[in-house]
Amino acid sequence: MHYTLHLTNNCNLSCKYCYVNKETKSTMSLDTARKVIDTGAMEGGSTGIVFFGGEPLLCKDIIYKVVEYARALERTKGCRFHFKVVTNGMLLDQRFIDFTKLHHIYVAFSHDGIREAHDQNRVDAAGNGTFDCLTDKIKLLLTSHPYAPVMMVVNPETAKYYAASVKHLYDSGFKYIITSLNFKAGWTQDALDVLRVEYKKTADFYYKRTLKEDKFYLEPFETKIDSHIKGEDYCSQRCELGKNQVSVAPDGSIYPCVQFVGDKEYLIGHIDTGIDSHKQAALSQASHGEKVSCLGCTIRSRCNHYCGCLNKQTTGSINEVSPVLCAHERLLLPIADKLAHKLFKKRSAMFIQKHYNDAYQIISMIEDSIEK
Amino acid sequence: MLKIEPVRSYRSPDYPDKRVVLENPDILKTLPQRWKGKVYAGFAFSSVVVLLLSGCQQQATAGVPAPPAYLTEEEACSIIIEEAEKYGVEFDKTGLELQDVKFYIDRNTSEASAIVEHTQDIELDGYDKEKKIGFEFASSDDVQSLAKNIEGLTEDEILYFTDADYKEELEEALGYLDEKIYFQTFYSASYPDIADTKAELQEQVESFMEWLKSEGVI
Repeated sequence: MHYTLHLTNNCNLSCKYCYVNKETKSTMSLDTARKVIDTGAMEGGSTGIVFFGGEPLLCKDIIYKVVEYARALERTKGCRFHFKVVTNGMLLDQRFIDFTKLHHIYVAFSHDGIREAHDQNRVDAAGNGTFDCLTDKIKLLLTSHPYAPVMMVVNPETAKYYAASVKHLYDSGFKYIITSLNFKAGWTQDALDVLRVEYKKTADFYYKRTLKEDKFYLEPFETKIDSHIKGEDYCSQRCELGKNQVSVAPDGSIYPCVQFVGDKEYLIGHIDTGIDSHKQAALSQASHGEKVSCLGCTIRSRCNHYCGCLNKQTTGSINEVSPVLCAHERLLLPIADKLAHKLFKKRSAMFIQKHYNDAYQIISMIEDSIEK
Repeated sequence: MLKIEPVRSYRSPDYPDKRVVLENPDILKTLPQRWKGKVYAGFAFSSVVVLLLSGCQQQATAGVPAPPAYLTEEEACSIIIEEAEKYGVEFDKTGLELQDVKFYIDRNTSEASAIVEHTQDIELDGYDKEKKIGFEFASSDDVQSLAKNIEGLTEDEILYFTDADYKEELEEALGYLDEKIYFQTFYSASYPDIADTKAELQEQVESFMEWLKSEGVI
């Protein structure tokens, strides 16, 4: 099981597209966070813990204590934990980086690309852009975590900077770039047409870097290509709402995913009393039902319409698909397929290994450790 | 206003899925340059592949190859129409005129921002009005004509604009049309024996027709 710990809904930034409800400030107590770890230890096996917010680095002390507590349990109970933190990067410092390195904590960094894109939305409380503040933080992070993922959010007004932003992040040293749309924003056909051209530019960038045998990961292209290559395996790996991962609110309430936190209708338990398995199963089943609006669509097995969390965010219902998502899938898929077709036709070794060889990640890790 | 629009038909991509690679594990022998000669490259081959590595190196064929045998556009269109008739598809040679078809051309330059937008009228080589099925044969004239009309392409880019590029660009452009049609671009392979070239084209048509059948279009 994966637990996303919403350590606080407080944040040191005021990103314009943030969906976190900050009306009442709340922070998770160390006691609540430890109970999550205890639950994971009792379940046994390997437990994923994601430190999330707000900005989780406002609660560094809790992170330090929780990780050390979990490591101690690993030594006595035979359980395993792996950790991830999702941060805006502003509070990264050498001590925290050293700690994450020591405990193999995966650090995911939020950044929207070039200054023109980033500073439009990722602003501080006074409304000032944060692009300049992050330059040194990126260097600090990548020196210790060269494969740290960066997450870039695309809005209609920043779509025109998409390709330049991906290239900027890549040139900054990020090799694991995840871009996603703010589906809740006011997307129009014109804005999506701009994005289509930007995706094509980025596909061209992907094509050339792959032929040069650079190692990188770039979403949304990787997933779309894999959706064809892996076929039924891709469908079976889909997230089942509330089944394999849950979100824990600062007060210990448990929700199926990050978008649901605070919405009592979707409350599925509490860390003190556990998860209501009936509610959890009903929700998982409901989100897996065939979407009426998508019946007859020939690309639905490769589409993201099944994501109940995304549907909830955009339409308010886990089973109602956003027209923006639909339009985006229709524009993205042919571009990703064309890219993959071109690379396969060229017999690109990097493309073939990355997408067809199950051992690719292991080989890549061995290569990195030997090269070091 | 954006709407949910189920995609009525989407051609299966031209790159293989994993099952094909499992059946042809030699594909995984394609290694990045820097892996070659490294111990860890051995991991690239699954246990299935390792078994295959022991014997089958391809032998290079000696001798001077015969010149390729291409089909003329007229010959090719006749073959396509004839093959399609076997499946009940009646292609009208007057085709279908499509106005202001939008292309987004990827340029093969070192710049990431190398996308050229281009608008052009297209007349398909054949169209079955009733079933909304069309085809285009990518003759060298068609290919060069499109490349030359695209503003900003260099002479080299025009020269190296191939029938495969034409096929990709046209199929993608027609995918953006408001009125959806079932469409395929065919091309002439270049075997030394003209009979093989014809057979290859017949196979392309057959494959398209079988796909239309699987989609319930015919």
